[in-house]
Amino acid sequence: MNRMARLIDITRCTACRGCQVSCKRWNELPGEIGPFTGSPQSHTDLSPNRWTMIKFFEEKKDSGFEWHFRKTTCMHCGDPGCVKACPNGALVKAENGAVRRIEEKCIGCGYCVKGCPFGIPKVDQVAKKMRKCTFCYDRISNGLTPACAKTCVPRAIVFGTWNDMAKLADERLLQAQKKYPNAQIYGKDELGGLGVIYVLPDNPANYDLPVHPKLPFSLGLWKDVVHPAGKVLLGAGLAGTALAFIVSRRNAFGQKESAKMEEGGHDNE
Amino acid sequence: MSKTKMIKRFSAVVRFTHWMYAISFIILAITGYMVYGSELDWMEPMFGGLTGATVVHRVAGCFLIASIVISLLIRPSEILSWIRECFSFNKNDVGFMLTFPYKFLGIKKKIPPQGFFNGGEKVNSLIQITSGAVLIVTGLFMWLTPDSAPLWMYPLHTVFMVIGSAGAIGHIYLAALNPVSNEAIRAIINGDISEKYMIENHQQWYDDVYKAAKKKEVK
Amino acid sequence: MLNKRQNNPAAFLGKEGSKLKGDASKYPIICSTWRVCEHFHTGAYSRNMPWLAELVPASFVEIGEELAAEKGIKNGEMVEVVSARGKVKVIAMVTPRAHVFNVHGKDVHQIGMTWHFGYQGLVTGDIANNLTPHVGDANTSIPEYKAFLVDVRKVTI
Repeated sequence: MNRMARLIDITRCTACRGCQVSCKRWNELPGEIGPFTGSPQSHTDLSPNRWTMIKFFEEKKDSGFEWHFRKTTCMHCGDPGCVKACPNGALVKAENGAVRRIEEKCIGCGYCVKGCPFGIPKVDQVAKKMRKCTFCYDRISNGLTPACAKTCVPRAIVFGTWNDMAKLADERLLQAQKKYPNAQIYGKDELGGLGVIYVLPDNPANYDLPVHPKLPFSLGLWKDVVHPAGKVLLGAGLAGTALAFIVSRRNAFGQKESAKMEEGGHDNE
Repeated sequence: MSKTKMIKRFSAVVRFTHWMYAISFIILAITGYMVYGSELDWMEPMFGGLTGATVVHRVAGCFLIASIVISLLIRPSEILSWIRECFSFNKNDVGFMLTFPYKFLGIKKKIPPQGFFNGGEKVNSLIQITSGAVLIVTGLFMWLTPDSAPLWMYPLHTVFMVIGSAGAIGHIYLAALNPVSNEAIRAIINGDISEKYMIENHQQWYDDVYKAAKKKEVK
Repeated sequence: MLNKRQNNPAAFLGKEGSKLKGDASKYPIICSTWRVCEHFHTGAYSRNMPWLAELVPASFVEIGEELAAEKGIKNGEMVEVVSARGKVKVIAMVTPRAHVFNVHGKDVHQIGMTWHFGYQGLVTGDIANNLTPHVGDANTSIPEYKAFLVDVRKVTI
């Protein structure tokens, strides 16, 4: 199966937040009425029961005032840090590009939270499970589009194969550049190609995105160096000790035999 | 050899806290390894799944810390003299370490006179003290402040788990299974060792005790 | 302007209660009410729907940065909006989006509120229609609610 992706065109989003509602509807998540946030944005961040949300950005520029809305969601990275950090194999990268969580294996340890450069995974501390966008794995593996892309009125969220979306992003970029000369594409080259390709009106930093997302250095050190080396060391230690045990028995057998007889075999205690 | 003279080595408190530490350590190693690797995953049901194992890991951690605190509260002098001796690594200890490979393989060799702790015990103590300290500090941070604990603490915890566990494997083997040295296990179970073993393996300590006893007599 | 008259002389105007007319000296700020796409009308349906209620959890008033600085209002603070006809307590949303108009050479601020709130439902708020004038079109009596005069005060507890 081809790798699938979503194109999210910030220049087209109207912040109707239909995606936010349809996500909750398809995934049967409860509404969470929070306090007023100081802007039309509904909440400050994602939560275990809120896998996508629109973040509002007011920008005062020399060219005038601009108001942009970015759909925040799991990027389903090509090189996902969460999958690397997961100690129990509860996160897997599916063939169609979805970074999927296996419910039974997840223990809510929160290591994925540390591994994610975008701060997407959220741990439900009561249920001890991490929850995040599933890329509507149940829908896309049955030939449907994700709930958010299905509901998007201005076609700001488009779903398709990664290659198609990368091509479409180039077309959308040309349109966007007429109005926003600084417009750019985000997600084509980052972290092995993100599963979400953004068309941004300006620099990613203006929209709460890391400009050069990177997996934390400690994560690579931990999982690529310390982990296998530790296993080898521990295995070697155990094997060496076992070998030494056998050799020592052999060596000591002769001299110990007499002593054993005298003391009544105390070393079997 | 009908009646050997027994020499007191470890007090009851130290023996008790040693075993408390040891049992906690083994439980911590097993439950921790379930998160680290997959080879011990078959044990998970014993702890109530991996989620249960992480809880057991934390409880065992509390017991491990408690064992240190108890021993320090009740017998601070014994613990402090142990730590002091471990950090006074001398020529005789180096000499011991040179003969150590033979001992490890069960070949008896003449060793230079050793103090209360021999060179190998000092090395193991140093390994356990440093790895224990690092594991406790990083572990507490990872447990109590999971959101703000820096990520490098996780590999550090892993590194010292490997070092500490390797040291512990050697320690258990030498004390319980190695035919040359396994008489020493008596000291940590019953608290005493035979004078013969003491002279053979802790000449320096024997001399010190002997001299002190003589001094007393003179007085 | 073609004509000096500002409104239809035949417009339906009242004298008391909700039909009172405010004066620019007492109520110097232009207010408008509008909808958000998350709520429907007075919100009787949508404010009882958790997925929609969480999106707009409180009644708010959009206040421009200049006006907010003038009145010492901070973002997210509770303010009181007063007209000749009534008053409501809502949360201030300080934003550069609200405009300043130049009317007869004078800077006049505009604020805007939603009118989807009431006293029942998952999220509640004061009723914005307490402020609006009941002015009717001369021919049909269709009310004109979208522009009226108010004042904004900081709520001191």
